[in-house]
Amino acid sequence: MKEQEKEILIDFLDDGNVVMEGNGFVGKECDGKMQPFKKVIGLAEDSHTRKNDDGTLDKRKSTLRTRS
Amino acid sequence: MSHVSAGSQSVNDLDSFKQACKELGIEFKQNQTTFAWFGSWMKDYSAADAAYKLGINPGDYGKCEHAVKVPGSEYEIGLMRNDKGRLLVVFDFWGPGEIIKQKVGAAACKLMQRYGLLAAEKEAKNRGLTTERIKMEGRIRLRVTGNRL
Repeated sequence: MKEQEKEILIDFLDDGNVVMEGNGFVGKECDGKMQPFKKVIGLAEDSHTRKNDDGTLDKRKSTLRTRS
Repeated sequence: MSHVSAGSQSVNDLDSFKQACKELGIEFKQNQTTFAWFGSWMKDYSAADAAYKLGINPGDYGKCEHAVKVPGSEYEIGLMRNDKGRLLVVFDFWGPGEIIKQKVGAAACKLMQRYGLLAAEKEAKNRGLTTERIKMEGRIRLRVTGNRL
C-alpha cells in the first residue's frame, strides 16, 4: 500500500484567521514539522483557530489537525 | 476618538513584512519609533481586537519599533511589542485611520494574510520544501510538500 505523501496545508482566511493541517505524518511528528511555520507566521499559542471534524472553526484561532 | 486595534498575529520576519507592505502599496518605515494616531487614549474602544486586550499598554500608544505609512492617511501603523514580547501591527482606525483600515483590513487582516503567505513560503524554501498557492473561496491555501518534510 502506497504511503500517503506528507503535506502541510496552511489556510490564510480573508478574515485574518489561519488554519493549519498536516497530512501523512505519524504521531507527533506533525507538530514538530508545523512549529517553524507557526512561529514565522506569528501565530500565538493561545489564539489559533481550530478546525473541527465537521469542517467548522472553533472560536479560538487556528488548528493543528493530523492525519497519519 | 482613539479606536486603536491590533492583529493577533505577530511579525517575526521583517523582510517578509516589508515585502507584504510593498505589495499592498504602503511604505514600511524601518526604525521609526513613533506612529501618528488620535494622540490621546479616550477609553472608547474595547472590542476583541482592541490593542490593549492583546497586551499593548495604552500608555504606549504612538510608540513603536517600526512604522508603516499608508498613502492618503495622516495616521500611521505602528509595530509595537506587547507584554509577551510579540511584535504586533497596531493602528487607530477611526477618522483618518479609516483609510488604513480599507487598505490593510480590519485589525490588518489583509496585510497579515499577505505577510503570512510570504513568511511561510520563505521558511519552506529555506528548508528545501516546495510550496503551491491555491486560491479558494474566502482563503488562500499554501500547500507545503517535499522529501524533507
